[in-house]
Amino acid sequence: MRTTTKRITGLVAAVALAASLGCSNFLDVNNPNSVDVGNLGDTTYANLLVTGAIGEFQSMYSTVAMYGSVLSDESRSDHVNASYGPIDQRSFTNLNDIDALTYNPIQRTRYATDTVAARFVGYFGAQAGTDLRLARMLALGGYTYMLLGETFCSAPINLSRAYTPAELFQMARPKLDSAIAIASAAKAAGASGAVADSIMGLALVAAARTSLDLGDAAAAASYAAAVPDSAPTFSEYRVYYIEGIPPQSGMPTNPFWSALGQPIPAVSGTNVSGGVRYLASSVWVTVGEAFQGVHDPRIPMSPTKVKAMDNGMQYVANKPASFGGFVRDTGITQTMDSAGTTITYKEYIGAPMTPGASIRIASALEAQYIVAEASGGDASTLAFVNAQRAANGQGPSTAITPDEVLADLREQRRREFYLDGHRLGDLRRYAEQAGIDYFPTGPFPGSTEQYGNQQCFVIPISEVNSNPNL
Amino acid sequence: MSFRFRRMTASLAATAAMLAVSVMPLAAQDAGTIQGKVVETGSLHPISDVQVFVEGTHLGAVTNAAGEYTISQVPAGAHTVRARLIGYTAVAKPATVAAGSPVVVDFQLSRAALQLDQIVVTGTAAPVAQRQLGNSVTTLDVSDLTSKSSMQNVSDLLQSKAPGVHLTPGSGVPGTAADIRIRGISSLSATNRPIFYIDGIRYNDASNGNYGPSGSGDGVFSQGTSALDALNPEDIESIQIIKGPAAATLYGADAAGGVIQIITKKGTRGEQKVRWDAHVEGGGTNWALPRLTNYTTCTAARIADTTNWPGCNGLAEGTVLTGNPLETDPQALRTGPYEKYSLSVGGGGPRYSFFAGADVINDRGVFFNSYNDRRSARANFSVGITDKIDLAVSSSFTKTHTRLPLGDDAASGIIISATRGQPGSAANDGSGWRIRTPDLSNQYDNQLDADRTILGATLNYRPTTWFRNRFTAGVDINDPLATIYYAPNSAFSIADGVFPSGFIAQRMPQTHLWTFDYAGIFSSTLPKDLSSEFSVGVQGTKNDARTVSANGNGLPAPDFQLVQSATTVSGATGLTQIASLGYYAQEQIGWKNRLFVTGALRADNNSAFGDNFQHVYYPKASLSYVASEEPALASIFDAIHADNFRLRFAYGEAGRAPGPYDALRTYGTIRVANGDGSVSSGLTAGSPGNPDLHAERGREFEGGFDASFLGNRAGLEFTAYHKTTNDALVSIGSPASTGFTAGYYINFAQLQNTGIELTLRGTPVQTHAVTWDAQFALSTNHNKLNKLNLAGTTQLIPYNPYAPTAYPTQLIKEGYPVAGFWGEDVLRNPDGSYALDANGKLQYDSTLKYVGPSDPTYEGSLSNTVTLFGNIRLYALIDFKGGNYLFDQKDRNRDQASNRNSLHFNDPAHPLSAADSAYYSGNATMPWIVPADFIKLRDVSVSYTFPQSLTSRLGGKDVTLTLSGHNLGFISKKYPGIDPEVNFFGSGTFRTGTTNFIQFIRVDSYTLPMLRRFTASLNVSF
Repeated sequence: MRTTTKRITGLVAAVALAASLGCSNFLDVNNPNSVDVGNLGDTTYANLLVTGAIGEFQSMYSTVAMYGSVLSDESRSDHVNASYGPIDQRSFTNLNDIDALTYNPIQRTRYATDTVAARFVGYFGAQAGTDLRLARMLALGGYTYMLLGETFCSAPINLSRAYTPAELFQMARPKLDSAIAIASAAKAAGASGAVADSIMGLALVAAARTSLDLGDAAAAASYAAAVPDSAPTFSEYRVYYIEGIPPQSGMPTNPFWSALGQPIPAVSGTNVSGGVRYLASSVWVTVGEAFQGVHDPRIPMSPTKVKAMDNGMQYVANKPASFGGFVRDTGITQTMDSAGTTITYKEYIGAPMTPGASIRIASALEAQYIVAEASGGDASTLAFVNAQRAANGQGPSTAITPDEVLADLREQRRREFYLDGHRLGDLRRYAEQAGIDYFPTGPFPGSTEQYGNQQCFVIPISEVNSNPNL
Repeated sequence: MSFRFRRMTASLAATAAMLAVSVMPLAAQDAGTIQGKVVETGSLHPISDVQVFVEGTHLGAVTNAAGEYTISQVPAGAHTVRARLIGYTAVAKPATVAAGSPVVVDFQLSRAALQLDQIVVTGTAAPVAQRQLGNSVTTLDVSDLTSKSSMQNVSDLLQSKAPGVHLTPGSGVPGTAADIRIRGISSLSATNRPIFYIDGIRYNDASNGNYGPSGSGDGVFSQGTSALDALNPEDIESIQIIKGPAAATLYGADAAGGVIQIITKKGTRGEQKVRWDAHVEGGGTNWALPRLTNYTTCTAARIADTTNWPGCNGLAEGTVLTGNPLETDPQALRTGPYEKYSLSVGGGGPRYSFFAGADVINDRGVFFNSYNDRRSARANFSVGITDKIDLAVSSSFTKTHTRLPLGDDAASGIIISATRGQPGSAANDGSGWRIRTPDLSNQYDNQLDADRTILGATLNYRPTTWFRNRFTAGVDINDPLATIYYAPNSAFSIADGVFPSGFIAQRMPQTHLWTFDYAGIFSSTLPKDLSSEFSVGVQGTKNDARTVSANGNGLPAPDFQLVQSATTVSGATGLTQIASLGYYAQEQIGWKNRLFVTGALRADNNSAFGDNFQHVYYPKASLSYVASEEPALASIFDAIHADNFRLRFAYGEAGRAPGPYDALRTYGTIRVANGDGSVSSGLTAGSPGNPDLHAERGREFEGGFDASFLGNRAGLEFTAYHKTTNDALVSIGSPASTGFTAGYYINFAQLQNTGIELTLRGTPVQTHAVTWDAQFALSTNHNKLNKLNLAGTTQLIPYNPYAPTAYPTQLIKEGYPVAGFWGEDVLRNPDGSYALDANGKLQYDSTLKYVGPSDPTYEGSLSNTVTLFGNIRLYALIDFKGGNYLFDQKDRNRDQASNRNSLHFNDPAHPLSAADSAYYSGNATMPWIVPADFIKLRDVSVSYTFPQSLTSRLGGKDVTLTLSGHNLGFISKKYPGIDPEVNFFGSGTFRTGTTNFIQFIRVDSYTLPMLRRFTASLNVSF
């Protein structure tokens, strides 16, 4: 027995010793789904960081375009969740979830492009000055600052005070200038000319648009004029998404597809219109009143109203002009009776939205629009307007005065860039610089309440709570 | 039954049989036998399940239904024999054993309203008598509870049984989890659940990882399932509950929410016989509470619209149609069969004891696609290796299979479709169902299989009389498989519309929760009647959680139910690890076994602490004074007829650790479309981290007294507590301008809880014919957020999706109860009438008004047990809660414009004014924040124990027949909805750490009310 006791004593002692030795690393745990920020100084992460920033931009762009379309006059919200309606109604607070869903990705993208650009200087020193990856980060970064200013009433940068849109636009331009310079230098140093041209085109269009936002027409025209007006040098810059119906979880898809009712071609069935089936429980972005009845091939939509998430009947947009897979429909001639008069019009159905529909975010055509706007309502603007009208089945403009010409230009612009993330910034620019307010007003559809007067998203409560400078 | 379960069960049965055969009296020439009978004082009825043991040895036995026991192999000589049972005063008697001859030692045990010498193992370094503790401990006698009413799981055992333990069932769906809190809300972003141990091993009570039953996939608002409930109550001997930091200091940085220790049955060493217990129970569950009637008023427009309102066709304007599809459609609800079978065997030899048991439960819910089945097996074994060393090992295996129906606010669910129904409408062919008919809803297929294995061992080593060691180690392995399946082109899949071509998702969230625990106890007797017990210990836990999940979309045919058969597949894996390590030292000084002073300090480190924070220290101090044993005070207690009176005070601290990786600033991955249809991965901002992150610090002071009167037949326990949580973890949205948007933890807030707990128990009548036992328990809790300490704001918002964003229904606001209810109302005149605008319309008040707390401020229970002639027992439990509010979304919805099917809007006798109509169907939340007070008849049972004279002819079996009812109905309630115990976000109890604070949401939104269960059971012991 004594032997047994000794053995057990020894065993306990051994266990205690092993336990005490084991304690030194008992608290070590694995975290295999992330990398510590402190390890990112290694240049092997350079390409992954660039790719990540591009991914953030992809995710951000479609999100901002979609929610921005609801706040502007492009779309209406038929969502049953209580957070969506106030955005559509232009009456919300910094507690609104959708406001935060718009703010967060744009700030993430800004941070990603800023920090990756800064890391590149650390990684590669002077060589970074001819690195197209850095040029792309600066171009996307500048574009993001521009969007931040167009979308938000004000915004901080890394826990700063809230900057005005004008200050944000001022921050955007140097980044875009640097992107142009580095892309140009890279091209001169033998880098891919096509890639360099693409980045330069993006940066030039963004710089021109930013200049318009700043009221600097001369600079806008200058930047826009520098944009090559045709392929192969530069035609357009797109953000891309992944097809697949339904999309796989976590894949970069275009959120418009889901918000438009996950449309799929269908001849018959429930909620079918124009050969497209719209899932009623998913339809919550529908065509805004201001865009119904436009009958333009660039704004195709369901020919009849379909049931939306809130059980209301609404028109649903199909792929507009800026979206990948856009089909320039020849139109179906229809007639309608209006106050005793028979009106003939073309009905454009186009192609239903898909999860992988890319979005054109900068183009030579946009540069021409910017040149036209910067020129005022002169003859060249009228000529440009008439060219666009003719290309889209409209007769010549009846505008005479410069203001009328500019009004017609604005009309063409809203059709050309429907749902692609331009409209909110345009409306704010028109209101601020020309005193023309296109934001919807009056009774809010389907309600006894009135539209509010908000024209921009606000800094959400999560930022306000945590930012000591707000 | 799976092969794995069959194999486990067979193994256990073989082990039990081997042990049973081995329990044969071992002849020894120098040993004798002690035998006798234990009866109750007063009634003289025999008492079963009494532990009778020979002090100073491991020898003992448990009495049978006739109160008889036999202890063999007792060494010859003088001994002290002690008989004890929870609820009775322990009695010791001398016995002198002569070799080869039996000694008869009979006992009479008196019912004890207060038991100062009951052994407590929870919150202490070593087993101690209750009189030594300065804090309150609640001990549940589970054998007694299971014999009185139908108990399915641990949640059933905890409901309304211990003052201060608050349990919200959430939903009546079988297998769904309850929310459990002790002494109020004490954390904002960490869990408010207590931690659980089983025989010293940390026991997983987390979510089983089911897919949310809210339609397709993982809906946010839904019911969860809990690993807690994978335990057979018949295997449990008792449950000990310590309620906060004052008592839980030795458990350290996870224990601020209290500790619940489950102690399983182990057999009795020295019993020298085998005892079999069989339990067979059958019955059914049904929806016994009211089912809402729908109303339609046939307006002129509806009468004219024969397409959409065919039911109004030809009727007079103003005719009101009624319908109740839940009542009339036989495919909607059923009385769900309930079956339970359990078999256990326990016993022991001179140096060992064992317990083995198995059970089968089949619980079919009221929906046709709902059930919760459980098969479990357990084997416990202990052996005295030497006089100084003993070893106890335990093992259990549980297999749970749950199917969850569409629930809560799932669009295709039965309840939502029934209660939004509009009689007379054309929807679903005029059936009265609004969205789906039950034949479709019942096809919804959401299942969970969970295999649970728990292994543990405790080694006790006593090298000297003054030094003891205890080493415990074990692991709790939970291995669930969640599956959600949409058959391709089935009627349901097509109607639901999300996955018409079929879909399957599977997820396996496996956890391994390891525990090791060492305690060394040094006991010594000091001069002047002083004693000392010094303890040191180290405890470690490590949780390794791995998840594998895969989805497949587009299945070729219903035969194919694996992900790889789908046309589109995706998958993911996850790994989360967290470890904690704590050390403690405790000194307890006793004086004359009636005054005890204890002091302790625990140091904790945790893998989740930030780099700038290494250890946290938690102190503890307590005092216990059995004043009634003080000779100088005897006259006082005699004057007030007090048999026992003990004062106790305790102060202690404990914590709650942050989440596993919350302190780390990291980058994660993001998928990027390349433009050619391919995808790349990139790095992007992930967790913002916080290097200063550390555990919350809970501080608690409690004081109270325990007293018994009238010969220990009446007892009173009273405790008052004041608990604060400092450095409370707050999960807020990261300031996105930093580039990080994931939840961000800071140690900022301070909360407090105060309250009292009172238990009054007694035996008012005790005669041979009638014994009446009664217990009344009451607890109060007043919760407040003292400081939020967030720059720029004094409130946070738990997210209720049904409330207008600008007018949330619950707020976490300084100076008010955490997540208290706040309502949006309309402007009113001084007399309370509406203050209408110039157009006669309501004007909404932009200022939220405080209504009340979301957690009860008081709750309690009254139980009565009447035993007639020793073999007929009547039992009833009434419980009550109140002071809190609930958001009644379901009835709000019925008033809103898209439904308007409530009596409220269709009562010709009481037509609503235009303003009232606008008020009830408008944005105002105030009308729907309603009191949740109730008094409920929770349990009733009647038991009959067959006379021994009858059962002895059948082989000496003890046979008891019990008829019981559970959730029988409300005696009264203020709540205007169906059931104030529901919460449409039952899984919120597991969703901590979110910036939406969804663990605090309290909403009734089409949630299945608690079900009534009637069962008949037969217990046979032999």
